Amino acid sequence: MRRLLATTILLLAGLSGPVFAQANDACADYTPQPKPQNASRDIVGQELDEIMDRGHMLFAVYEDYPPYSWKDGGTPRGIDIEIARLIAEDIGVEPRFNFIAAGENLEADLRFNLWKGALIGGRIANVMMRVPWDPSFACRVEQVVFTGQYGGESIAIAYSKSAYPEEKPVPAYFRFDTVAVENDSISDFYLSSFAGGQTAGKIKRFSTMAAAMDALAAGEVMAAMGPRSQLDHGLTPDIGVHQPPLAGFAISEWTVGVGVNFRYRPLSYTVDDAIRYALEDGRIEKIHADYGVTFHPPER
Amino acid sequence: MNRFITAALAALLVSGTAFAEGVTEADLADDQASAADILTNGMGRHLQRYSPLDMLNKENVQNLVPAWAFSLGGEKQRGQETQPIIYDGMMYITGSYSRIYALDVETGKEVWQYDARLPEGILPCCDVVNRGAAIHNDKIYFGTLDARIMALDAKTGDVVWRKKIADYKAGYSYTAAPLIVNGLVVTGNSGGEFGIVGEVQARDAETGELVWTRPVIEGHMGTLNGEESTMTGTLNATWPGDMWKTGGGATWLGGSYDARTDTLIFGAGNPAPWNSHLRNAGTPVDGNVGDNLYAASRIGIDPSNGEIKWHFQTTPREGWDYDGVNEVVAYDDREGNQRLATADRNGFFYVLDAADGAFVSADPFVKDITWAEGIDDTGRPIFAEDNRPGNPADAADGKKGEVVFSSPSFLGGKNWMPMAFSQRTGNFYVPSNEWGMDIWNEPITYKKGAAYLGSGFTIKPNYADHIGSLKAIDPDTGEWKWEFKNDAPLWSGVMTTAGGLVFFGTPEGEFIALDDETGEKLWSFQTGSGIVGQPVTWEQNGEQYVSIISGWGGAVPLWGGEVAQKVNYLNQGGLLWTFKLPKQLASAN
Repeated sequence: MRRLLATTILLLAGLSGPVFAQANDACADYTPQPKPQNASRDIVGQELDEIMDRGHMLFAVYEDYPPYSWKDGGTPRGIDIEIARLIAEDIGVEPRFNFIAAGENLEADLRFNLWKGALIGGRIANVMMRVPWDPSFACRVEQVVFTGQYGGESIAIAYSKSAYPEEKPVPAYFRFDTVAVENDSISDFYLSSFAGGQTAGKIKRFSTMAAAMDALAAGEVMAAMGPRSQLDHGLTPDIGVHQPPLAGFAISEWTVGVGVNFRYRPLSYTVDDAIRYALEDGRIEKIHADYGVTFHPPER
Repeated sequence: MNRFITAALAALLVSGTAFAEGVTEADLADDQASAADILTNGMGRHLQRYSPLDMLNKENVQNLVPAWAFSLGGEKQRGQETQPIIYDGMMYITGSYSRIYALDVETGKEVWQYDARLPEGILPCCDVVNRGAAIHNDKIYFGTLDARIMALDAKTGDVVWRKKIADYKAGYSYTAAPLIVNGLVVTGNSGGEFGIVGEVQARDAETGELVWTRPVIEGHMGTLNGEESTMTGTLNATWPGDMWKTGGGATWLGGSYDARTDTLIFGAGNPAPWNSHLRNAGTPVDGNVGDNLYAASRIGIDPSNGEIKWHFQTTPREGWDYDGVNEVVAYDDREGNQRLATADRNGFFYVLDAADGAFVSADPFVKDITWAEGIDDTGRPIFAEDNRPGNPADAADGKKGEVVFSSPSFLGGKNWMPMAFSQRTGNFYVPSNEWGMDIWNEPITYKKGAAYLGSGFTIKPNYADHIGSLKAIDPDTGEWKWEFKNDAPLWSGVMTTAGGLVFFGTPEGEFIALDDETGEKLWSFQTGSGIVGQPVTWEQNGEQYVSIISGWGGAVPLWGGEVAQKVNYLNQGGLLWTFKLPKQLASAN
């Protein structure tokens, strides 16, 4: 419903100019930039017919990123991998995977993998997995269709059951207790500035959430804070996870879908249909369960 | 001991043979005075970029004509920032995408070319540029985008050794020209906002073996000959918690060497994370424990063991992306005092005492500075606290935060492009840019599929008729002698000569010679693409030559906002131009 509304407003704004910019227009803040010269001269990617003709399609997935996508002895594994397989199966082609390093932000990842290509090497993918859905972000990247919402993500706190036998830790506890986060993540930012920086001294930063969960399992820290799926994946019998209210944390939840080059609308509709069927018949929920991850239905 | 042998060997070579067998430490030390070669980035390791040649001068510069040009080729034309090295009949230049070329300096014909193989899908933080090579003995050295340093045979281009500076997968890269001192190859590192830590490393130039390392963020341990040496600074003196572990401070522009005091001088980039409020730096605190040392600082290092001799932090409590990496030039002032000068990203031109890095003076070199009211007697900024970008906690409602206008912009009053010092006038010639930025907290952005607290920026020109501004600055008074304005932002290096000329290039493609006393344009040549390279001049067969590389690119074309209108029509390229003053025209005025 919200998506439909946003699209309508976009269309109106596109036809009639800024006259229609309203308070609920997600794109009101955004002024399109002039098109740069000498950029994207070549056609990149493939349309749906070409994909079906050649019998395979390429998915961009983040590398070393359990439980979403990683290589297990050469075999692609993870929630995003399984959902990509569903999409390819629905279209009737073989899925192939490009494990990518994350750029500085999502804009860079979309540019390198969907609509322009990397500065050095790299491949254009037909579909990029784990692309957050956000109407105002979508305004800033006109070259990509944001579709196929397949899950929700939210911030949670994992804790050592022996360190917290009764009361489960909330952020205020981390004024006194150690907590592991992924460096430079939203949880790191939140705790670094929480209550005027009172929790900043107890944060232990790790390069990945998996390393942070390892530190919790090893007893080096008392708790860890990050995306729920990544905490679920690192659970041991001695670790609990909960989701207390997080004061002043407005973006502790977001929806995740896929990205497709804006030139290939029929592909994006087909991909979205495939995901909708798999949501409706429970296949996507089962994939999450298979990986021990709590499934949050996406906002669609 | 080693140095003694090297020096003795150098003396032998210089006195014993007509044709040198290789570049010695003595040759490197004498680079500025020896006009027939260019052996160091900066035309002398003090980085003065001053040539004592005066065959070419104000009277005859209009007779400067092209001698030859060389195309770097390849599918990808982008961002040529190299400075040529000239030695023994060859010119060595590096190109974007980690390429290096050896040319016959008489004819411009290629002798050999080496294209480094780069890993697929590599994401270099800081574009695909390369800022030049270094030469020592019979080898030429350059760094590659996958954060490696390599030595090649200068005659053949064969690889002699190749070593990893840092892991590119962790976000490291390398773009600067290496520095060679006493048989050591000294390098910094480049890295984006991935939690990297700046470091200076010294390797044996013959073997590539690591001799010492010096991380530039407090709390990290240095090494010497494979063993831990000393800690940088004092743990948690100016950083909260474990944030120093990922404190940033990339030493991405390399360094200079002051032979007078036997000191390496490297600059460190901005601290991480970007927002100062997260580093205990957002508000003033007792004892300045939120300064985040030695990010945004210049650091004097003992080349024999990597120990820090002194530091000077240009932007404590950094919060505007004012990297402290800009080059430090060693020079003697008009009274004969040994001095260091640097034009910082933050808009102030600093003079330091060469003996210990102590503060001498600081004056603005751009017109509008909003983040500080000035620099006090100790060298510390007098902050304008209300001009600091906001605390992300204040924008946690998910909305765009308050917009703050700051000047200079995060690309700095001066960026990487090197300034020059003239021994003839005693002035510095500083390529600067007059621009500011709107900056705000932008909670809605994403990284690796997860929500992320980002910042938004828009760079804005501060004046309608120019962004670029080349200024002649008297370092003794801070006074601006003259200013040359340019529509587009300046991104090329500057060179001065004893002939009274100041050479530099513009993004519009003009290679220009100005009068060093008046700023009057005496000569210019359209090179066909934007200039972001570094000029050199040398003597060959009794004639004076000048070279500049032309090839628009670097970070510049990626800018949006109002600056885009001044640069987005420019075409990229990759062409080295060499000019000469023909003998018969040298005296014809």
